[in-house]
Amino acid sequence: MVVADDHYLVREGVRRLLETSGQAVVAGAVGTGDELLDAVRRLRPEVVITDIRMPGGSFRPGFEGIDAAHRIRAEHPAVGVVVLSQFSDALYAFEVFKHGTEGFAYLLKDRVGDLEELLGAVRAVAGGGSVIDPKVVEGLLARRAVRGGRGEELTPRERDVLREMARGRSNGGIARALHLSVSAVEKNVNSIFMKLELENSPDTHRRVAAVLAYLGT
Amino acid sequence: MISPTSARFLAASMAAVAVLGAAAGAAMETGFPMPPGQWAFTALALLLPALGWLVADRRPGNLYGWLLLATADCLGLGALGVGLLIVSDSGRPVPVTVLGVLLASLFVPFYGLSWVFVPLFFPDGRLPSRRWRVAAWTAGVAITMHWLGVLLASDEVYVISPIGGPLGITGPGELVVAGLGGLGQLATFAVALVVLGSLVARTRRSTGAERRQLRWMTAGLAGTLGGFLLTSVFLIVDSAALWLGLVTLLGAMPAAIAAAVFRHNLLDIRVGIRGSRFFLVFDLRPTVDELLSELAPGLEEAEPGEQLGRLAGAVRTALDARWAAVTLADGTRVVAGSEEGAAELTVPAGQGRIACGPKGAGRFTGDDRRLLRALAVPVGLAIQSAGLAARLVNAQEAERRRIERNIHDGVQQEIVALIAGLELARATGGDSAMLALLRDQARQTLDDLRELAAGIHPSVLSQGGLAEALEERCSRLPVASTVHVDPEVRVRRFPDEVEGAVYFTVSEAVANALKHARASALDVRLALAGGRLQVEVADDGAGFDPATAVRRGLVALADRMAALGGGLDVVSGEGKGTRVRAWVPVHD
Repeated sequence: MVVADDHYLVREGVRRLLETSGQAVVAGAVGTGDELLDAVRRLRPEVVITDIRMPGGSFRPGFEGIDAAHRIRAEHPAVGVVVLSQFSDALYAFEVFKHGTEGFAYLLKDRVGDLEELLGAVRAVAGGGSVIDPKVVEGLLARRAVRGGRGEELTPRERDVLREMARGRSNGGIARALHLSVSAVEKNVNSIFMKLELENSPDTHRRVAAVLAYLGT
Repeated sequence: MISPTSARFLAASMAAVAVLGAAAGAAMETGFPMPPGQWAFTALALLLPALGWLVADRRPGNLYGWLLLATADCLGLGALGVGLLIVSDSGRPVPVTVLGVLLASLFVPFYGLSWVFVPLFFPDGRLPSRRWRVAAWTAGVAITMHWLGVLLASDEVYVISPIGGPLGITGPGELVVAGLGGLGQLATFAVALVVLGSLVARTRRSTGAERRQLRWMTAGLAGTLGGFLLTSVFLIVDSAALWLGLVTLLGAMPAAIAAAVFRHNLLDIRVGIRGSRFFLVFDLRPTVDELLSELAPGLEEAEPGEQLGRLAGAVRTALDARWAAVTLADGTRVVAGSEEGAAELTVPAGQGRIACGPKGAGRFTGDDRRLLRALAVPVGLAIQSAGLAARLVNAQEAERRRIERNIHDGVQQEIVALIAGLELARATGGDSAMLALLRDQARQTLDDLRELAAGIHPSVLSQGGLAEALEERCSRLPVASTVHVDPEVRVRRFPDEVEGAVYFTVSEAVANALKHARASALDVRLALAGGRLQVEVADDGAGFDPATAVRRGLVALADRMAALGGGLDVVSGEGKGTRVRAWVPVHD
């Protein structure tokens, strides 16, 4: 893996956290978007974890991490990208997913306090899946409510399931996380897709894309 | 230059003379009741003085109105003279006959003026070009020759006075006089034809509004010359043709001028109804006072941008321009109307300028320019306050962005690092050394947060007041610094915005002294004198040339001071240290 963050303490904290877990090898830790691109070309990691804003370099100011991530995905489609954001604004999430959700995870930085969550996202993007931080989903749902979005109101249970779906979890994963039976989860998932007038799909990354597309409109 | 009052009196008198002369002359010629023809003549003769009076009264600076009045007076007095000659037709030369002849001879300058000068000086009382001075002089001489010829001729004057010219010369001089008169008349007519020719040429060359105006004048002159030929040269006695000739002779010119003036707003005299009493006015242009008193109440409350919009609208209305634009020093433009055609009139207004597009009709006059210059004063002030407001808003925005960045990239990141460290400690069962490290990180974060909050608004300023906040600020500096505060100021509190502005001015000046000037000693003085709270920050650093270097932070603070009615100045020079002085008015 390669870790990119302009803040030294964060960069080193994430690196040590991942290395100590014994489940990841951090090949490089860098501080700008340009260095990240260079490190990926040299080290060929499976996954990249990057900050959004890393001043300096040739990318758009304020979006250096996101722009570098898109370049990396274009050059090396097999490399998964976890974007760690200090912003809960939806703007950055849409910026990350603007070309599709495959192989992208968008997590708030708080997640560095939850090693399992972080590793889960790393594994998901390594396999081409996608993850959206539940807090961001919550924000998107709230924004939709403010805008007076169409469709029926989701029940609290369905909202829980939606958040877990956005995390890139399968029905089985959701069932375990919410302590529900798999058939109950399936029922909720179907109900959500019906209410949101979306196409259901067993592919978790497609489900994330569908949810995101719905929330973004 | 005569005073406006006497100009108006003179204009009214000249118009009255023309009207009364024509009416009295017509009445004397036929006696009462007048036949319809005399009524028609009188009515036609009223047109010219009315028009001349209007123009001279509303635009006394324009020669054209006076020219029309003089022409009308020649006509009116000439008609009076004819009337006198007929009334006093006793077969003997009496003084009244002499007066009659003198007055009747004014028909000569009437024709001369209306054929040559009225069309030539159309519309603004100036010659089309300097070359026309020759024609004007020639016409002047020719008219005088013709006039003398008529006055000094010994034969009958206009076939009216059977006794012949009372001033007539007999003997060999008679022939000279006759030749002089005839030559003068011929030359006048010739110049008139040249003027007509040039009018035709100018009409064909011109386009748009100018063409329409010139067309009227060309038609008017052609009509009047044609009328003269009909009545005088061909000596047509057929009454219908005579009628036609008389009507065109007397009516064509005034009709043409009236059309040009009112229909095409040529002399910028608009006709309209003002007020609830249907009071007909011939000049709807608002005066500067009217405009300003109309604008003032709304302007006070309007936002700077809206102020500029209203002022641009007022300029456009006042000058009857197709569009008017107010441009700020930074290039921002506020346009009233749709911007078509290039700017024809531009004046500076404060730090910006006003530009006006083409007039709705006609050309910009001296009055327009005066009006625009008068409007430039309030526009200049509005531009200044708009610029100030924009800079204040920008400075505030920049400050908010700076704070946001400091939070997101500073404190927030430190907390993220802390969380990562805690998670690491949890996952590995962290030892005491690791926990101590995390505690120190947390303390550092707290310090940074405190610093950040102080940068937004130091709590010591709101709690302890200006003196204490300045002392606190300077006590944390790495160089020797002193703070002098007047005892009176120490115990007093000022409005939040005043204390904030003064505090951040000192803060910025101190930061500059350390960062740019590498000062080793600082002196801050806070004093209250003459209703002003003044602060001075002096350093012994490298100094700079205020003429070439710009301290952006200081510009923002100067704006902040200006918004409070105060000011800021900087005295500095290479190697001479820097002295920043800021003041704000404070009220008891």
